[in-house]
Amino acid sequence: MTKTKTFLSVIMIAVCLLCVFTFAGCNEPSTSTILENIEAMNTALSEHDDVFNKTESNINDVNYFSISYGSVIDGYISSGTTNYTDLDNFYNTVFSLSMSYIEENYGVITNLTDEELNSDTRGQMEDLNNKIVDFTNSIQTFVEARNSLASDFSNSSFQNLAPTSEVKLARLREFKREYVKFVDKCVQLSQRLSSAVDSVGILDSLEELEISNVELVKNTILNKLLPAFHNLYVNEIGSFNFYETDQNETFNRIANVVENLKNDLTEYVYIMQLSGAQLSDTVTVEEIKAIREEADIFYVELNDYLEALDGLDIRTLSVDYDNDLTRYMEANDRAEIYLQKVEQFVEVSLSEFLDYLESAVR
Amino acid sequence: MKKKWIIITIIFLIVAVVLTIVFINLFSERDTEDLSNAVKTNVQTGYLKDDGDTYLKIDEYFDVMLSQASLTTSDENEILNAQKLYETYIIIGEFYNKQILFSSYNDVYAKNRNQAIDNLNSANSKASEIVSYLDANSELVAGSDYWQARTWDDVESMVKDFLNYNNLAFSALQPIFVSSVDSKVASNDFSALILSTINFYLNEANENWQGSTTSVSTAFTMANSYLTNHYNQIMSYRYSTQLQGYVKDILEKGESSSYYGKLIEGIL
Repeated sequence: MTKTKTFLSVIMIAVCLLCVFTFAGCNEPSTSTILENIEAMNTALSEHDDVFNKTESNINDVNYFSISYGSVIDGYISSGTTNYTDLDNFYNTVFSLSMSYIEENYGVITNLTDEELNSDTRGQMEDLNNKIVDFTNSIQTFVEARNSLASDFSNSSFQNLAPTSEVKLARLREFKREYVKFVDKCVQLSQRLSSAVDSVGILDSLEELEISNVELVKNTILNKLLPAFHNLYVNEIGSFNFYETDQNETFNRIANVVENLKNDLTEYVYIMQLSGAQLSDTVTVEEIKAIREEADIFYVELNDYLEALDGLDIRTLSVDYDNDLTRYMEANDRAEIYLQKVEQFVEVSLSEFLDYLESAVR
Repeated sequence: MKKKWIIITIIFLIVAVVLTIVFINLFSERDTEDLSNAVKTNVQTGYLKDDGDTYLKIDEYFDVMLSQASLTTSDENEILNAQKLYETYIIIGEFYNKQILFSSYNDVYAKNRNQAIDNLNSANSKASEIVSYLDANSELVAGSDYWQARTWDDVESMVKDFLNYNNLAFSALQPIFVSSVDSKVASNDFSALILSTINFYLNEANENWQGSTTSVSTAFTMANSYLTNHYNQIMSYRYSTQLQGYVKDILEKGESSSYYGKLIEGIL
């Protein structure tokens, strides 16, 4: 009797474990759930069309989101006032590019039936869905931050101050911190989507069918490059008062990297602008393969750069050590190596790769 | 009944311990941190630190020994070779310290890692031993510096061991760099050619350290040029078709290539 009980107990435990493992794999959302959440995201954006304008921007002939910051700040941006133009030139550009990638490519996933998803893509569904929900939730928070900023700058006590007065700049930095969080969620979503699109194998299928699609390859490669710009400038620099700390040699090195990164972003946007007749229609499938191979090699550099950026931790270097690299090295003895890697990536790898890409797709 | 549960608990505990050990071993086996830490420690705080006490003291000793009028030619060559070899290892060590951090695990890595770590650490210990010896002897000889006590006979074998450890360590680091540093900007045909050529001349100098200093001078010139002064040349190799052409020619023709001379002069 005891033996039978023991045997039954083992069987029951095995069944329970089987159930746990089985149900653990059943919580992936379907493509229709993802589509519903994308629509909810679009609704949330269109409910605030006074903030998110879908206009023909300076990035491309395609309609991109641009953000209205309120008439006073928009005025500062259009007049090229320092510290304000970043909102348009960097923050909004990164947001618009990642948003446009999402808009143009989510159909690759949502048009698939659940049966058509491969195991790799199916495994990414839950994370993708979470990113969509996460970004949608952040829209309201961002809008509130923008409205509060616009209201403060329209206030008569602010009106009399110069645009570069410390009071105004401090308020602007506070808003930028909120903007960083918002853009970060959008970039995370676009990166997750590009991984899902990659896993569907659409580019591989085109190559197998001997179809050369320069635009699709260009856009996929460019989207994967967004963290190169976003992680350093928006995430690292934009989230604290980097420019208020001591302007020593290390400060100048990082400022130089940022300046180069801005130039690279200009080139990035320029390549993004290349479309239709400007893109080569004579690029062969073999050449497309070569471009993709070159991009894969570049992504290794990108990963090393992101690892170095993480290891460097500019915020700690700047806030806790006043950009004193020698003192910081006592706590982070690889800081110099990480900084060199970041410099090398932005000054050599990124700009060289963008040059290559520009010439390869034309 | 109680006894039975105790037995079951013990069995579970044993299984848990065994699984933990297996997983720890599996992960640590593929870990790339140990090597990069060993390189970092020796380069940033150990015997390979270019302004560290160990290097400065040994280098100073070499300098003073070389000024001794009674030095034989073979001793002089040994010291010259040793001094330049040490200087070259420092330059290459700095280069590897920047690169090995961004490496991934593979068979070549697994094969060479322990050789690199063990010999770097042995070289560091030997360097400390040399410094201790020099310190002890400088105290002993009243009124004169230690190097005037003709210490080379004692130091010679320690230096020979020291160079041997370095040779083994850097011979292991070279294939690790070529195969494990995934960045093609850093690890490419050009950097692989430079490092293998430097390694060749370092080996030659180690094997013939009582003889001519030509080999070590070549290794030093190359290391100093490509790994420090013209480091950007390696970084931009992927984007220079001209340089790629030179490297291809050298790889195909070896020493008979018309560009080989420029390569070893550090001016390719």
